[in-house]
Amino acid sequence: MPPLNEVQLRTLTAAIDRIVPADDFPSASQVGCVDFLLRLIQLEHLEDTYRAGLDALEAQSVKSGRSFVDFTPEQQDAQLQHGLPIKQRRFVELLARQTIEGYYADPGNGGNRDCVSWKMVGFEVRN
Amino acid sequence: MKVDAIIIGAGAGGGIAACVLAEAGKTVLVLERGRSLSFADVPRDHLRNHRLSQYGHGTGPDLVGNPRVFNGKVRNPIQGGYNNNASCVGGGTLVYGMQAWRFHPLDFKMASTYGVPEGSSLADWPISYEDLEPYYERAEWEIGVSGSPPAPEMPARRDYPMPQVPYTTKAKRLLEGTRKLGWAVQATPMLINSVPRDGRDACIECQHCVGFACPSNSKNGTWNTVIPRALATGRCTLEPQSFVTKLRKSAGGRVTGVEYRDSDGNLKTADADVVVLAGGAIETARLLLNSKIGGDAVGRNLQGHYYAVAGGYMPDKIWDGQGPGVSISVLKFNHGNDGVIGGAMMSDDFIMLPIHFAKAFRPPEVPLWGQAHKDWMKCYPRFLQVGGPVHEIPSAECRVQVSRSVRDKWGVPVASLSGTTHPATVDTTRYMIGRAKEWLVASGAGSIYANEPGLGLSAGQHQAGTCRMGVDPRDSAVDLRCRVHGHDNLFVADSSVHVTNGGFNPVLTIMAMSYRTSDGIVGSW
Repeated sequence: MPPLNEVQLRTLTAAIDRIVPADDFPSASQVGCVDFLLRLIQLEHLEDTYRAGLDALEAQSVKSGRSFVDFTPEQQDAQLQHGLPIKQRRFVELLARQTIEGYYADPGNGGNRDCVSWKMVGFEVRN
Repeated sequence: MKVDAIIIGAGAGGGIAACVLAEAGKTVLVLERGRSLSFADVPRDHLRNHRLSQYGHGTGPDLVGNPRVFNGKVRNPIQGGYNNNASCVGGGTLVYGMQAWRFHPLDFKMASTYGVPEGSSLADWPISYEDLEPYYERAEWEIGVSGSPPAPEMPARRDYPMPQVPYTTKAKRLLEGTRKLGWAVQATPMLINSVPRDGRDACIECQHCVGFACPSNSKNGTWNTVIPRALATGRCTLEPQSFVTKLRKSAGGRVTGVEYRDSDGNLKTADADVVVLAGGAIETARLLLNSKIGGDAVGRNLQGHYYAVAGGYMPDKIWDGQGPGVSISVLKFNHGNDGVIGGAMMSDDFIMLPIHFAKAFRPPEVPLWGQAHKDWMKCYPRFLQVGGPVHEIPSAECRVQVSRSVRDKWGVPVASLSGTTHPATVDTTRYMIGRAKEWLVASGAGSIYANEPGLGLSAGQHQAGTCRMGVDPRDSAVDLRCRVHGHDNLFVADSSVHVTNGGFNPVLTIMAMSYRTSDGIVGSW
């Protein structure tokens, strides 16, 4: 069974692109961070945590009239910062921490495709 | 099986003991709980290494089956409080940062220099710098150190066998800072081949040094120097993945050998005339406690190092990618600091992984995520950091005991860690953070920040102190020859014997002490 359903996956993709947004350099989902997280969720047995957190994010958004993915980036930021009940805010911290791990760690982990973040910060593996 | 000597642990101390004893004609059995690993076995995984052990660490101990207890909570090797060090052939020396410091002469005389603060177990070593000096030199030449002449704060010594690694761009800026401040410097001494030596290549200045295995085999550990020498004698047997569960003793109390699990999990015994413990300060104490050998001092005075660290940003890019990254050090503040006890050596840092930067150096005003976080990450090539290991002021209540309820995969009670360092350590750390900031400012950095130190237990890769050397069995565990009090043929050759742990990385002292102890064993055989 895949760790996340279709809605959860869409919410995840939109959320991590607020954690590391696109600018002159790609966003989190554009360099493989979804795959990184899906693998990590299974390795670290985080299925329940991610499902519950993403469901809460979506439910909170729907209460405000639409799906999380249909909000503007600013509204998504607000949902991530303030939209969730206290109990779920720790999920956003976990999601942020792990997305950043995917984005800035070695490409062998599945995120940071083509060493994009390393090129951005100026870290170079020469030998 | 019967041999002359059994050595438990193939790390910095055990590797040297194996070599000295085997080359002196003794038959030696080395039992190492970790595996024999090469460069190819240790991944360059930025989330699983000994610098950042988020989901693993790339060597032993395995995450499952080797728990410890920390302040009552069960911990695996990558969880906070475990105080891990690499277990493998070579131990920490396979992946270490290889700084090759001698302790300062006053590091051996802390109590008589500063007095003993209330509630601390601060004491002088029963031996002096001069006693250890020839063994320091031997470690520098036999294992192989690169570096410069000593800073003026240290005694004169024989030159190292190899020149220093070149200063990095960061070090050159820090050198300018020290000139403004009038501080003397020394190239950071390192157990690394700066030039080809001993049949192995020179450092290729790669970007994955501390926490990783070396691609050019130029990082000098025991696994690629003295252990091969020991094996070449034909008298030394090395058994990796062999875990000693208990020391065996006769009715009279003499240690006769060990009981251990071999790599297939079979329970075996081996007998020896001499047993040398070198499993690190936590596991050596655990084995003694589980074997009911040694007095009340065993397991007490657990210490490591606090780190006084400050970071800041230069106006321009100073990242040059030249490994290992550490190359310049200041020793002005190891002693003689107003109002605090001891001090620390300060240096620049190894090349930092971007994800380590993200996790360890985010200033409080930068949010956890979002565009502002990404913008901050782009400051990485301008980041400059200095810091160093602060001399711990030990407490007898900071200790290793064995758990009454938690056992490892072999059913052996695990180490249980509790207590904290003495509060004076925090004062010295705060003082040293001030000096680190001063150095950064003088070097041209701005937006400088540091984490506020808090009271806690530190042991980790620099763990020490749990079998303190001394004359009186009431407050020490081993005698001046590092024999466990009351047991003529049981020796300790790791950092457990350190009375205090210096304001320096401790590995060269572990090596020098092991040479001294091993020479003593051979000399009195």
